[in-house]
Amino acid sequence: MLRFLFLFFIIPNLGFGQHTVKLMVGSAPFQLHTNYLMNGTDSIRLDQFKFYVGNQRGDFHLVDASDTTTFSLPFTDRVLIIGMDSLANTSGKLEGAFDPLLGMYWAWNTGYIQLKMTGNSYSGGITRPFDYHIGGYRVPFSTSKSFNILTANQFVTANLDSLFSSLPIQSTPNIMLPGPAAQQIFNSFVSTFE
Amino acid sequence: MMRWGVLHLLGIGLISFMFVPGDGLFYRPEKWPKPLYNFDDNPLTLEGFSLGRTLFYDPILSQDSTVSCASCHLQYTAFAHVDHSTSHGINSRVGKRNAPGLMNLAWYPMFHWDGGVLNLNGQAINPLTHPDEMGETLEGVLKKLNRNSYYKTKFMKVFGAEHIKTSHLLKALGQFTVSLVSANSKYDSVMRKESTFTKQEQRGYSLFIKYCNQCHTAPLFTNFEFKANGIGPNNQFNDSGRALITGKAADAYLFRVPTLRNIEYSFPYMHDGRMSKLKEVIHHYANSSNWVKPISKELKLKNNSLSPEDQKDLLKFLKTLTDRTFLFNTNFQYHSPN
Repeated sequence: MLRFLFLFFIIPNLGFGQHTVKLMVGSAPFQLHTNYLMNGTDSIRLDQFKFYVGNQRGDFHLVDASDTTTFSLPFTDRVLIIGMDSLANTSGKLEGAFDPLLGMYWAWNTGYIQLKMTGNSYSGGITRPFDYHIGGYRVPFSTSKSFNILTANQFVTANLDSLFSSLPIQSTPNIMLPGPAAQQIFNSFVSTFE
Repeated sequence: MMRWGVLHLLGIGLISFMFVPGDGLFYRPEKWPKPLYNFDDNPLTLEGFSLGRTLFYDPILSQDSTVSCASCHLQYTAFAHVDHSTSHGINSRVGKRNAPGLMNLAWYPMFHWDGGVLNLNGQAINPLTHPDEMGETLEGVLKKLNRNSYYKTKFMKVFGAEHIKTSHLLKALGQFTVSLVSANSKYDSVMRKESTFTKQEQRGYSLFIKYCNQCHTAPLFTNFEFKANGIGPNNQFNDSGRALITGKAADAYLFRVPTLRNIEYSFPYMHDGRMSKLKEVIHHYANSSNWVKPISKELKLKNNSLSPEDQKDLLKFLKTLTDRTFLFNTNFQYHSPN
């Protein structure tokens, strides 16, 4: 009886607990260094996939596809932010998730890369490398978006298919600056979250 | 009792005359605005300051241990780079911009000629990692510091750091650079009513207020805005300045208004160091026929035409912005690691 009551109180709380990011392609978990067929003939392979998730209190966390331990978010907030807002970008904190050592910091134009994707696309026998450093917080090209988490949901799931197929690899294989092109990719990324 | 009284009086006299605290640590000059640097995030200590100074002068920070911060920022020239129009780096590589003087950085809302860098601590990553400057990686420099027993001990003492991280390195450098306060020139002593301008300096000051003060605003002698001063784009580098940061066409070829403090010693001048003499600079501003587009409206409105006499007077005034207690402050000089 006691044990039952104990569970009764604990289980609902788990629902409000930490969230785990789930990156999917089709019905399988996304993996780096794996070829994904895009539209029957073209394929894409990613070697780096990292992005920032945070909360409204200015705490941020770097999710890195090469390290599944980073998929557990260290927050219990119901509102999450994908990509840092301008305050976090300019806070001058250079520790933890903000450490420039993580390769997400733009030193010459203060701010952080919010989404880093590098890899190759294969189309008609041609290999095209791409390098997307997506960031920016100055109006109107912000790369930050907050959204509410369904409290019952332990997983924050992103289905990456639509992001990968929307990448402008043929025309613009490299983006290293804030601006409209960066914002468009960021918007595609945010829309992959359920 | 008597002796203490005399010493006390002497002490006060010295302090009000020198206006520079003895330890080299940051201070806020009287009547200056509130500094913008976040001191709560990096509380200054003498040991932190001295660690920052050791790092500033140590070529260990560069990729091949040949270049230190002080290679391009020499104290006697207000921490600017004399004799080189643009900065130099490892393997004799040359940068695109004139290494600016370092002073009063606690009041800077942004750094670099294009204003791209928003905090002092983060600024140091740029020269550290730029291939034309120190050419090192953060990983590389932290590895070297963590293998160095002198630095291990010092960082432990200052930050309680078992392992030296990015933030420790940058905060230590910040403790030194934020302490480089220059506010004790003849101009300052005149403002404090401790001395007076000569007649020529006074004439120069009046011209300055009329023609220059709008952008080079006291007490920092810059309003931190981005302007085009009519020197025209650099033919060699095609550096579009502020537009590189904002992406706006209207910001093309605008550069940050630099401070005029210690301007006598911080040659060469302009963002690309194209002018080596202060006389040349004044001559440029004094003759609107020399100006090349783009030209900011502040300058256009003045439509300057200063006589050679006026130019000499202005030069005399600018020299009153030289602060020898700063240029020769022994606290800012190289000290062998202790």
